[in-house]
Amino acid sequence: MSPPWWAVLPPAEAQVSCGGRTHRLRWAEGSLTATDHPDAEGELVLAALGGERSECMDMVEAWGSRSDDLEIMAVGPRSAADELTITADDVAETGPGGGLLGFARPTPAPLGPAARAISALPLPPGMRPPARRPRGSINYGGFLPGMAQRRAAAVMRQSRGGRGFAHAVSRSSVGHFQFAVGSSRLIWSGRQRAADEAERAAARRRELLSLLALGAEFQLRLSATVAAAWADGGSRAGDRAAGRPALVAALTGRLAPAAQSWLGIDPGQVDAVLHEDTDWGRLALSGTGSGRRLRAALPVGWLASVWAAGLAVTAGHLIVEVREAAWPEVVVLGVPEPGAEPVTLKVRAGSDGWKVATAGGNGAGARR
Amino acid sequence: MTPGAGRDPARADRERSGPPPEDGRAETYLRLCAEAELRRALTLPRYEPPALPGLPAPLRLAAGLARPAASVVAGAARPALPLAERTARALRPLADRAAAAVQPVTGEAARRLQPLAWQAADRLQMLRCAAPQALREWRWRVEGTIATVGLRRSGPGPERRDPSAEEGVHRLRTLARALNLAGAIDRGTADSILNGLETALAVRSRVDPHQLAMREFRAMRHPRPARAPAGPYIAAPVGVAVQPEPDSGLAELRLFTLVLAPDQAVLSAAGRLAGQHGRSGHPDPWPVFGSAQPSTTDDRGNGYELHEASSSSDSDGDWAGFLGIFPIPPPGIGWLELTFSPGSPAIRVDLTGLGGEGGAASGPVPADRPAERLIDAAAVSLLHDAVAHGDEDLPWHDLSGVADIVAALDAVGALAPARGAVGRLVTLARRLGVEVPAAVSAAAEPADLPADWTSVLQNRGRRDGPRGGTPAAVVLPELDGARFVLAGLRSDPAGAALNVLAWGWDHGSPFSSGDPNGPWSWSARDDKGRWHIATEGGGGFSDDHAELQLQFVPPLHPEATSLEVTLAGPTGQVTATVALDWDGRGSA
Repeated sequence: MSPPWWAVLPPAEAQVSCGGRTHRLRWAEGSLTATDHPDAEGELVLAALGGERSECMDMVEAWGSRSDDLEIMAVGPRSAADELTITADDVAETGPGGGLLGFARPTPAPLGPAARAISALPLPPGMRPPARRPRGSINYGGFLPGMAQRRAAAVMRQSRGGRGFAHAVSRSSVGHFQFAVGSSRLIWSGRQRAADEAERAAARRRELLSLLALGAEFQLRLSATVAAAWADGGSRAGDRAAGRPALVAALTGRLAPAAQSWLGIDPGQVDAVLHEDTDWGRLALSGTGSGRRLRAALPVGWLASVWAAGLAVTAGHLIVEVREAAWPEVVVLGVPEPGAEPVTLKVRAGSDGWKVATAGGNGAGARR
Repeated sequence: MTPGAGRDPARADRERSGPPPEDGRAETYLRLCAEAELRRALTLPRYEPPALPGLPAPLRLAAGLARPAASVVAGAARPALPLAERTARALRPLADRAAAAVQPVTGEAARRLQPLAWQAADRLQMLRCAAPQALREWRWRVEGTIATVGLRRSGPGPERRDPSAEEGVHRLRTLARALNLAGAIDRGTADSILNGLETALAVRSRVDPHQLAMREFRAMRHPRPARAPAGPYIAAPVGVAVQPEPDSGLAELRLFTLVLAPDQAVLSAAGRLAGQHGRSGHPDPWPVFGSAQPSTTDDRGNGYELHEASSSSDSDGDWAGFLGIFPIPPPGIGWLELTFSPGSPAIRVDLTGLGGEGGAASGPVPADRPAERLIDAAAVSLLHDAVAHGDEDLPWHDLSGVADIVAALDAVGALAPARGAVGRLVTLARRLGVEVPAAVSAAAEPADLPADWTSVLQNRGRRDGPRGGTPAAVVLPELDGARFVLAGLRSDPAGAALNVLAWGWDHGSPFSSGDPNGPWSWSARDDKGRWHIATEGGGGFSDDHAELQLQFVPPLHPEATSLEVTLAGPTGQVTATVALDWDGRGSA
């Protein structure tokens, strides 16, 4: 029986800001806990009843809700060398009312002083806006570059009585254009649904970035959690057909740099498919020189138990299966070269990665 | 225009679509493309917003002018609207100057930069976007676009470089849209794949992280349109010349068509600017009515406001616009009477007997195969360039995007229905001397061009179109949940422009660069047998409707008396016949 996927990963800790203090999040044995919140369940109940939420518990909840989310595989790291530069400071800017990455809910707002001032300016009769135009409308105008000799067809669009934000576009020409911003109240009316959707998208983005900002160790563990959910025995194993395209891409994107490290092959020349049988899978190399192509069939679980632990290429072998695990010592099946039978290796985690402790016999035909 | 018409219908049905989205091949293909793009982008330098001191002189000047105001903006109080207003005003000169600064690069460069300038305008509206950051970003984008121009330019030119990560995402988005239009992948899945790639690049500092917020901002700004509002759509021809007020800024004004829709009432119009053309001649807002107070009444004694809803003008002095009528006249009224100034004659618009879709329109009929139409649309775009811009622009026409699409369709098993279209594209490109990428030429043998394309090519150099305008008032039958109303046609020796109002029409982002592969296409044939192809010359876009100005080339036949206009949508096409009664004089 194979060990649980998390058995090859040591515990990890990260510090987060929570209520103005620095708290710790701890991952161990496949679970994330907020160590400074001993009564986590109680806090969650209180939060559900409208009580104050803590950042730590938000993170734990987000981790749980993303534990089978294939978006993690699309965004997360492809290898240990694939550094995600997102930081907690970046994410802090994304919070409500935050800075440049943030997304403010476009709730109706009263007219600002500039709009009020402009609307108060007297206009000549001919330039007087129609009564229907919202007070505070501001028109912008200007010229865009282009081919003067070409027929211009820029369309100016002015406020249509608060019908919504309008845009002017010229595809092929030069011309005068105008566009208008009506009062915020009118601009946003009628687009609340789109705003709500955008806000939800922004919230999900912030949540994703917050998890990734926990650091490389957590990125790998979250990726492993997702992969394990879709692997045999995982909570989403029954839905694997629907997730196959994303899983194939996840596998290919992570096997490719490993294969490059293993064989020196162009990562673009790696094809991977999901292996659905009970053995470890297949590896086949074709072509020569720069035309070499590696075709692989590996189970989704490989991502959780092998790749996430940094075991993919160890001692010149592509590791294809974990047989036993009691971190820091692990027994694995490794393929020395495509087409060769896998061999059993006992490896040990050290400060500079995994090292072979002992090499064993042929592991071909091993069942998972 | 329906190349390939007349095939075996049963076979056509079988081939109508490629593999269904459930097949998963297209999704897998697109996801693997995204993986490859991420790998490629990781070899590029990280995104670093350049510091202001490195700006080219014209931009530095613009930045210098805008910075004090921008600083004010950045430090302004937080309420969203005032900040947005100040930011927009502070940056407007910068956008103009930055655009002007790059104008001398080449005509083509300027053309490529135009969407960029619109993108800048888009950004001006973004709430909470701090001005100094926007200045740096603007410079980065201008540099990137100049480099792109250099990349695409054939022959000697600036040193070639790898496309930026942002350009790679754009290329893949185009591909995703094509697969969606071909029916191989649903739009939500395609969007999520590209959004995932963009996020992956942002968290690795390969694209500007603001792109993520902009994506959501755009989704809010450009939600997918709802189905066109239900209810009657009426187009009433007006066709009357009005003497503009002396202080109106217009020398001529002609009313084309009154359109009554469930959610609005508008009057299309066109004219000529008075005096010197150019920016200095445009007060803001545009005083189309001068000092006069226009009024509108109906046969029941109701009064309405008449105001300018939108307008455009060009460097030749032509003006076009839509006048809004408020409130919307109720159903069943017999006429509307428009008076532009006290003492001027009233213009009565008869509304009796207009039951919505005119008898001049027909359809819809089922559309051809989507993958085939996708490739044909690319060929028509090339054809349009050949006619509208002449040979000197053709070497710029880049078919590499089409090559991506052909390769993708092939990979997901959806190319078979489109091989004929690929063959037509190969023939057309070779005839025009445009380089054909190997992926395109290898996909199909050259095929004969349809007769309508041949007609367009034969007439590409003509400058014999009649000069004038006609109401062209036609309501098209509903097509794919969208409604279109033709509302005025203008013709001159070089071509013709058709005003169209649209509801429930999925245009995509108006700030993206031209998308020749969209699901909608327009064509026309006059009664003298001359074919015409159309592109969007411009348009006004809002959430619920659009005002399009379609540019038809080559010009109408000078003796044509009617024009058959065809709109092809995702699943069908409709046709309308427009009488060419130029300015009430009858056809030329």
